[in-house]
Amino acid sequence: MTVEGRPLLELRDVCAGYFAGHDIISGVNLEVAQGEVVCVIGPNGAGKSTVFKAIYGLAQVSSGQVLCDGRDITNIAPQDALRTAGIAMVPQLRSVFPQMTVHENLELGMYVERRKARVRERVEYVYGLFPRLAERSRQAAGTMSGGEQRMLEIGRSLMQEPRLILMDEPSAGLAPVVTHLVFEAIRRLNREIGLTVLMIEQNARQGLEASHRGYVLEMGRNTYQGPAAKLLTDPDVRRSFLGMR
Amino acid sequence: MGRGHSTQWPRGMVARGRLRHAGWTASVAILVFLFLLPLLPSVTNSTLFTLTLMLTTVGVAVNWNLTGGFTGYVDFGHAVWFGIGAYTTAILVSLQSNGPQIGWSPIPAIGLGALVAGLLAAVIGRATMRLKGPYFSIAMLGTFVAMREIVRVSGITGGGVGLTLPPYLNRPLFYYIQLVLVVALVTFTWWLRRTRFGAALVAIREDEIGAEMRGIDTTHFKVSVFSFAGFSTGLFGGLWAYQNTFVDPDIAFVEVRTVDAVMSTMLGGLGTVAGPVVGAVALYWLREVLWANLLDYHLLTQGALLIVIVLFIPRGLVGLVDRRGTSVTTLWGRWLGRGVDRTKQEDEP
Repeated sequence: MTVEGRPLLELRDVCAGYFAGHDIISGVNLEVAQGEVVCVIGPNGAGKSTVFKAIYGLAQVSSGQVLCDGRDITNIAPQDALRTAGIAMVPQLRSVFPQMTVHENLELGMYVERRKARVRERVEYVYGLFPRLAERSRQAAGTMSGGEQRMLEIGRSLMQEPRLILMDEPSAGLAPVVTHLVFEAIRRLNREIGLTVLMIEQNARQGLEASHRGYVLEMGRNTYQGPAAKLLTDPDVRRSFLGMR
Repeated sequence: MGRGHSTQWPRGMVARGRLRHAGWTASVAILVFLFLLPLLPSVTNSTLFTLTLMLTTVGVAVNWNLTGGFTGYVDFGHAVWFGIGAYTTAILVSLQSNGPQIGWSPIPAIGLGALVAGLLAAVIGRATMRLKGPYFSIAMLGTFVAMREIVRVSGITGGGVGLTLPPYLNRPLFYYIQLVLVVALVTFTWWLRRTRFGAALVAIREDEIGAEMRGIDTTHFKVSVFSFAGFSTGLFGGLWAYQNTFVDPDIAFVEVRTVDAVMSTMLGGLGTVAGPVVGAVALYWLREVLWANLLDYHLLTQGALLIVIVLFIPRGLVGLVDRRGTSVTTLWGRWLGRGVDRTKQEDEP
């Protein structure tokens, strides 16, 4: 499936959950190659978020392996996920600091960095990617639109130069008219800076349209997988998940 | 400050910038006036004492704002540090026959009083700051009441009778000391807000879990600032005890001192640098006016004022110009909502 040999992230028969003996996902296989946008879709309760938490060390992996660049990172400590594995997470709920400025929010994305020049350099880099954030640098983040706040969250997660970004429902809580802006931004970042993204989406069609490949997760295991374009036309997937008869 | 990219300012911001500039000019003018004030022949010792007490209220409000306004931990027992500073100073200085008769000179006594308050704040804060929202507030109120009762029954504190300090009534000296202290404290707050440390404090107010996720050691930051506020309020407590020449549990530990700090900060602007100063001065002035004209109703009027602030100027007087603080209603919502699930979020077009 992947173009250049070893995938950046690989899940091998991963079973994981929150209490011993009660696995939420049972045998998930998944791969993300460098420079790829991959979308995981599936009904409520299929275990999509648990897949992310298993990668990030927030859920307990009982069997199977999580590999990052060939290195075993199964049950990594959450604080090490970003630092050593270079995996950043953009959570589903709105997570900007609402009464702090856009600029301060970005700086907080790199709080652990003590070299000011380096922080400034990264902030300017993110402003280059999102000119809208530069325009609003001194505005309180909470006064921006939901879509702009999502951009800020994505920009903030880019501050530490992650190799992979996990996005838990990037379109959640947004008005339908702005969701496409978020997916457009993901596609653009992928094109411009080769950003690797693994996302979960309820909004299956738009999510797949923005992705190279997709996985369908049902009852804790992946049932369908393939190029996004193919999933979008697959009659079973269309009927079950894309709301088309 | 690292904002080196060109930006088109909206018109409102330009106007606000001008207002801020005017605010700076006015502050400098007022400061010069305050420094020259004791030299005027018409200024009596009693006027200076009133002003010194006002500076105390300002100082305590600035300290309260550090935890309440920046970090969002609404402290209902802040006056406890004032009392501890005052009592430590009194114990060390007093020569009263039934007291410990240590007889220190005032400056080390006041300094040690502040240190004791700061250390106790570090210890107590480490426990109480694990609590969120109203639970923290009530724990601090409890600390305050408990400390007053401990002081009332202890032997070293002179019990319910209190301690008398040797009189030393150089009003201009204390006026200058407190003026310099307040200026230093405000400058410190101004600087703090611009550092990583200050940003971390505000991040804790905005979203403590989120702040932790960004690698901020929240316990360390909030306890540090809480302990500093305790130290600083203890300093004002010690200065007050020495000038008052007498302490007893009911005048050293007064709820009103906390209430004043909270009201001043709310009136001036929560989480802003100038807010507690403007608020405390306004409150002081207002109270004098009310006291003089509406003796029977002054508390009623004060309560009404509180309601008016919350309803009409939730960002406070300074908040009308400086939007970098927070509003009472937002803080209130977060205060009550701590630990409640936040899955409900508003949808925006």
